[in-house]
Amino acid sequence: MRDAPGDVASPKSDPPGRRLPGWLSGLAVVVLVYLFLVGIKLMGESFGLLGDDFARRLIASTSNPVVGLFIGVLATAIIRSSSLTTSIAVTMVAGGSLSLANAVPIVMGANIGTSVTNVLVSLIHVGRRDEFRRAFAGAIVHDLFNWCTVLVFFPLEWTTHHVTGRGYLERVSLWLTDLCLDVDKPAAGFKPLKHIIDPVVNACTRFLKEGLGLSDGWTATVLIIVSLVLLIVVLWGITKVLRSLVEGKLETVLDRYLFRNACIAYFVGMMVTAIVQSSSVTTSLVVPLLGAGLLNIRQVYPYTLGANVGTTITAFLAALAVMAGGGKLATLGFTIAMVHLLFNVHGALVFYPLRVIPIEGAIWYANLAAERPRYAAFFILGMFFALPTLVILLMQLF
Amino acid sequence: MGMLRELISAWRGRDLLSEMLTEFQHMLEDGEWMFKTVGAVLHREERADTVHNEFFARDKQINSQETDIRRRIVEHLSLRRDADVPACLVLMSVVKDAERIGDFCKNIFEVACLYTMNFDHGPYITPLKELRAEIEGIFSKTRGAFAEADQDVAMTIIKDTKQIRRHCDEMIEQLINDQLPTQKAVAYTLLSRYFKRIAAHLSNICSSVVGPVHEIDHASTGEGKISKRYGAGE
Repeated sequence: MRDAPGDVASPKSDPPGRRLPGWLSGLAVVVLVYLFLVGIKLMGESFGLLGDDFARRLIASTSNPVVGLFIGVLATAIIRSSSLTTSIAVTMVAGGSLSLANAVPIVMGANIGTSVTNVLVSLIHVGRRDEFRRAFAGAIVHDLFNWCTVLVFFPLEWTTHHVTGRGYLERVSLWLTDLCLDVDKPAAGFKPLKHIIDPVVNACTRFLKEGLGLSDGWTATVLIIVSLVLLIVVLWGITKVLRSLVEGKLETVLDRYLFRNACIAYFVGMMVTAIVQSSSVTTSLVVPLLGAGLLNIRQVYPYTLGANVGTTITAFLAALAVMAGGGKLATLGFTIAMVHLLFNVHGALVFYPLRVIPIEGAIWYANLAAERPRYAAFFILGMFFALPTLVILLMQLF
Repeated sequence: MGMLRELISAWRGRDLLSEMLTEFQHMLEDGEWMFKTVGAVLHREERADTVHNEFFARDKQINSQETDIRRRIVEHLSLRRDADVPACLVLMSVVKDAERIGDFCKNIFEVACLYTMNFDHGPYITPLKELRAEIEGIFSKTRGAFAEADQDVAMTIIKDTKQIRRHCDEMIEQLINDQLPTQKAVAYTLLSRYFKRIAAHLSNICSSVVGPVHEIDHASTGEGKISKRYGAGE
């Protein structure tokens, strides 16, 4: 970047902006991951302090799966991170504040809520109709895929839960958890984590309870706020640092393999998202390329499906933290993370062969929005905010 | 496994901007080859039918490289928050010049095929040969100046191409007032015009080295302006 008018625009110029050296970025990631694990543990601790009564009330309030679904949508749309929503769900399930069955629809809803970011990014093209048509279609296909998957697997989960006592995804995830972990000794192998996380968490709790003399309820409230803020900041930081570490390489990989075929697109979407820890970043990256016409919606679709799978890694990371703490329900954190993964894998298995549904739906709506941009506003406000709020309120009233 | 190896190699590879710059160098190399070849055809040092396929394949390659670089510019600007915007804008402009050089070489090739007489006598032959030699010499200097961001060499090229363009204009003026047969007059006029345009595009490429983005294609060789520009940042 030129520093002053008159300077030459040499293509040999170093890229503008200062970047951390590689080793420092790596260290930052390690520290941020550690803080993430601390945040999860703090949150788990706070829910534990709230007691069984709070847990019973929370479970009762989320017992309606439709409410749970839209809580997931709304919460994720507001905080713009499905990773955070699912991490909180992992913590609450492992702490007993939320039942596994009630957490499943929340996780499904989180998948929907996270696609608000790339839809917002597509709005920068609204001034140029054809660009906007392409960008908006490519952005909302993510959301339509998520809705299609919910429309299939939400009723399936509900029905199987009522008939057999456990939902389909819940049952398969529990089986896989048994396969992957020694459920009798879930903390085995995670003891080193316990030793580096617990001292910090215990010190915070002791400070609030003994140092400041706060009650269990107030301690829990402070810890919830602190852990929420910590998790938001840390997840944001992890994404930023990891992205800056890899984006130079990312552009070369995407250039060379830019959606050469569906398999590669899926794999690249999954790997990139797992690395940068954010499906919002990964899916937003391609929106300008869609607008510019370098990619089309059919090329981006498998990439989006892969991104959905890659983002589940954060929930597994959160599950690590709760399993390190041990406890009867510790492995359920892993199970809900598995539900998230399975939900996305199943969605891809069904809606890749049936991709015509979300793709043609996205194209149709994007054509509408390109002619009348207010339809774009309706989509964003309606799908992510108005509808969830309305459903939650109505369900509470009736 | 093969895909994984390729992915790893892509991961370890150079960044997109470096690849674009390398590809642009290849565009100029292809343009230089086309110009040298068409000069040889023009002066009957080579037969047109011998070089025809390779000649037009190179032009197609130049066009494809232009499209490639433009696509990569969009990718680079979209995917990198720290994208080098001025470099990308420069590349966006200069690839057009490199592509136009290829087109004008094709135009010269057409003249060489249509003009059935030899370019071996007459008052315009020597100037045309000199222009050809001068422009041929400028190609590699332009590639070097751009690759190294060498302002001194770039400024020299701009001055040299200004001379070349003036000679072309003088030749056209002379041709207008001459009484040559139609075929000869049209051929020489077109050649002067095409040589002038090729020199101008090489000058445009060099202007990106000596001046800011918004002044590409408009580099001045006036002494006052040169010292003012060189003075900036010293």
